[in-house]
Amino acid sequence: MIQAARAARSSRPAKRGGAVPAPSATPDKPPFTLDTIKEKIQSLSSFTIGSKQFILFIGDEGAVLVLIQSGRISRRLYAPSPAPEHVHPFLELLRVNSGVPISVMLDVMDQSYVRHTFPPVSVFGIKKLVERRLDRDFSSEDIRGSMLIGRDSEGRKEWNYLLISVANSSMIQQWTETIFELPNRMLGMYLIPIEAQNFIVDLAKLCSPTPAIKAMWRLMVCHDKVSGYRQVVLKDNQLVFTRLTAATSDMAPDVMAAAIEQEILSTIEYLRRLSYNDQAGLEVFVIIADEVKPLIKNDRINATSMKCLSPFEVAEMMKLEQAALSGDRFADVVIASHFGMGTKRRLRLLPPYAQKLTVLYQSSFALKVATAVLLLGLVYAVVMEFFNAADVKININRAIRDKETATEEIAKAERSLSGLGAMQGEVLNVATLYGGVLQKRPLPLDFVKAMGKVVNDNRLVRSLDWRFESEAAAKARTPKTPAPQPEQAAQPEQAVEQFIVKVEVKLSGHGGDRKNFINLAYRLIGDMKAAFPNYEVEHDPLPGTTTNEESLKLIFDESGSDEYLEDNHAVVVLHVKGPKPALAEQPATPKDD
Amino acid sequence: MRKLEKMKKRVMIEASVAGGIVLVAVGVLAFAMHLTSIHSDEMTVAKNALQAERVKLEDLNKQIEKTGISSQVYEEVVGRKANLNFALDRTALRSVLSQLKGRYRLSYLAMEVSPAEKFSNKELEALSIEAMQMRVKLNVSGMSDTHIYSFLQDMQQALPGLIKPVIVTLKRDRKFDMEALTQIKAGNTLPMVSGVIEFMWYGFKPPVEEPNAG
Repeated sequence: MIQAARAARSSRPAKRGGAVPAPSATPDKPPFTLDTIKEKIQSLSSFTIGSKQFILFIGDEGAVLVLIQSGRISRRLYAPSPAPEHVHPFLELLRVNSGVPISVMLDVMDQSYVRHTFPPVSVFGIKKLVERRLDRDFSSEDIRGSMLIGRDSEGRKEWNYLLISVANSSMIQQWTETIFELPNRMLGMYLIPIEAQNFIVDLAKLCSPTPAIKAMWRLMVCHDKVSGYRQVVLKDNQLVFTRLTAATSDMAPDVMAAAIEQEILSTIEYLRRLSYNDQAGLEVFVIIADEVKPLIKNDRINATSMKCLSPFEVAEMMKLEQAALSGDRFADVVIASHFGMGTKRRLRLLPPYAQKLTVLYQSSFALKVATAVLLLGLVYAVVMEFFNAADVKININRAIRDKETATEEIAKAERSLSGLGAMQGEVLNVATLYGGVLQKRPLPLDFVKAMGKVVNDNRLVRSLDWRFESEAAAKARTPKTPAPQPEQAAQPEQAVEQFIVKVEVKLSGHGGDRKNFINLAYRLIGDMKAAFPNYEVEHDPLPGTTTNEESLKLIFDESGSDEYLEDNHAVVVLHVKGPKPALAEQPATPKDD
Repeated sequence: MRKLEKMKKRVMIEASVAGGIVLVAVGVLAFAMHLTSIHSDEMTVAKNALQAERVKLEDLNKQIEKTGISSQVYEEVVGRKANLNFALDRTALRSVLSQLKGRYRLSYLAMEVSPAEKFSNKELEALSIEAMQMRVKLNVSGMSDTHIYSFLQDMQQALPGLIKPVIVTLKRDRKFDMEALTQIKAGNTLPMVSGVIEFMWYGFKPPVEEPNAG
């Protein structure tokens, strides 16, 4: 299950072939876990757009410090060891650029890669399991990390992790102690075999954008100044094998070429144990000094394709400005430049001390972000509050102006009122009294005036009894009550008081004829109704007429006395009542035409 | 290890500075809110004052309007009345009736007057002076109903206060024949029509109550 891949020094193969076992499921996109979020936040907190960045490429034979500035290599320095006399130029450059963060790339011999399968726990629980496994399998002194390779798509859906450890050797400790105490922020430590995956994929795309045969296997050999010959093998773009072989730079080109060919063949032998066969396709990329390039032949290797490139050619292809000069023999700077200018990071490792520092950096960043957000909110609130206050102030001024205007109008109104003089009180009182007792009330003389249009020489008013209905009701209760009715009088007046009139009209001109009298009487009644349209006009039974409810006794003789009506009896009794309530709002005067 | 300590110190300082900045911002916000609060109070006071002024102005405008309406009503009353005294005065009543009896050659005129009483209804609540009322009953005889109606009309105009007739009853007592014509020609006041006029007499309380002469 566990297959350690500790890179071998020189031509010594790594334990069990130095293979990084390929996962059973190899998804292009790893599943989403909590680590993904954490990495995103970390990358955000260390995000430096268009700014400077240091890449420290550490190997067993020294280190290369690269300063990337605005997408190009600004400075590159080499130190054979972390000894103070060697790192002095490094420290000087770092001191000058104390605000520039550093990323450390490790290409050392003593690395372990163990593939481990974890039970299908939840995304929240897998991290603890991985941590526990790392504690158990590796020394606490090591620089450790894990990388999710994928998750089984079928069966138990187990988690496939690559557990990685780098021995924290005294050399690495010396380097890290030097770096950690610098004011520059260390973003993390990265392993060349892991991060080279991106490099190889990009290089393959550039070398053969549309390959005739798609190779399943890719092998890259590069000659690094600080470490030696680094071989990285990908299967389906996933790391499956890596080896590091020490190299001496004073070898003759043909010897170096032969050594490289031999290393490749040895690697292929290891790959055969990992199900490699010649038909699967193998692309080989060799980054080597210009003079060695033509001496490396594919005859013995028998790869599907083989590209031998100088560091300068690679830099040109990848548009890594100033990453290599035409005479450069080593790939360190090119790989470091590709890493530094890229955005993808496969695995970040942090020693405990660096973790603490990172927590503090992140705290500082979070503090700044939180303060900025809070401050923005507060500034917004303050601005809004000041606007509000200004608005209120404007409203106050407006209210004061309105008040002043109102005060002026009050003064005018008071002057107008005072201009009315002393009469004002009496005018008001008289008008109020008039409105309260007389206004819009019918009066007897109005009735008499209207009656004047009805009466004439043949219509003589014999008697008239005009009274308000309230008085009529009082009379019905007590016939003689000359004293006033205070409680009645004190009642709120109706909108229009009604009156009742009884009029006796003696008719003449009928010549004693009953029929004539009745005709005249009905004409009178009609005239009355026309004169008082808004009143109820009724009459008593006319003399000489009877209703069905009355008894009737007549003597018919030839003299026609039954049709005779005495003059004294030719009287019509009329009752007028009104005005009608429906017309109460109208003036209570009869029709006067 | 020195860097870790430095970083801790730096984060602490940053936290302090951030806290200070936030505190200052909170202080400024509090100050702004305080200003707003003060201005809000001022605005409330100003608005209340404005409202009070508006209410006062509205009252005054109502008074002016009412005065205008009252003036119209007053002119209507003045147009109907010859006597612009509105204080109830029995002496004046007696005097006016006496004059009118002669003017309209009434053969008989008698009056009954109730005691003066305070009078009020909803419409009279606005009065600034006490309203009084009396009920007056007149027994009258005259040469014609026209005389009596004219008497009534003149009485309404000549009496102080306001007259509201509530009962008017007239009855023709005798025929207008040759004998009646002869008597009238002779200058006699012949009672042809008799009747009763009852009215409510409204007015204001006289400034000084005089002893009742009637």
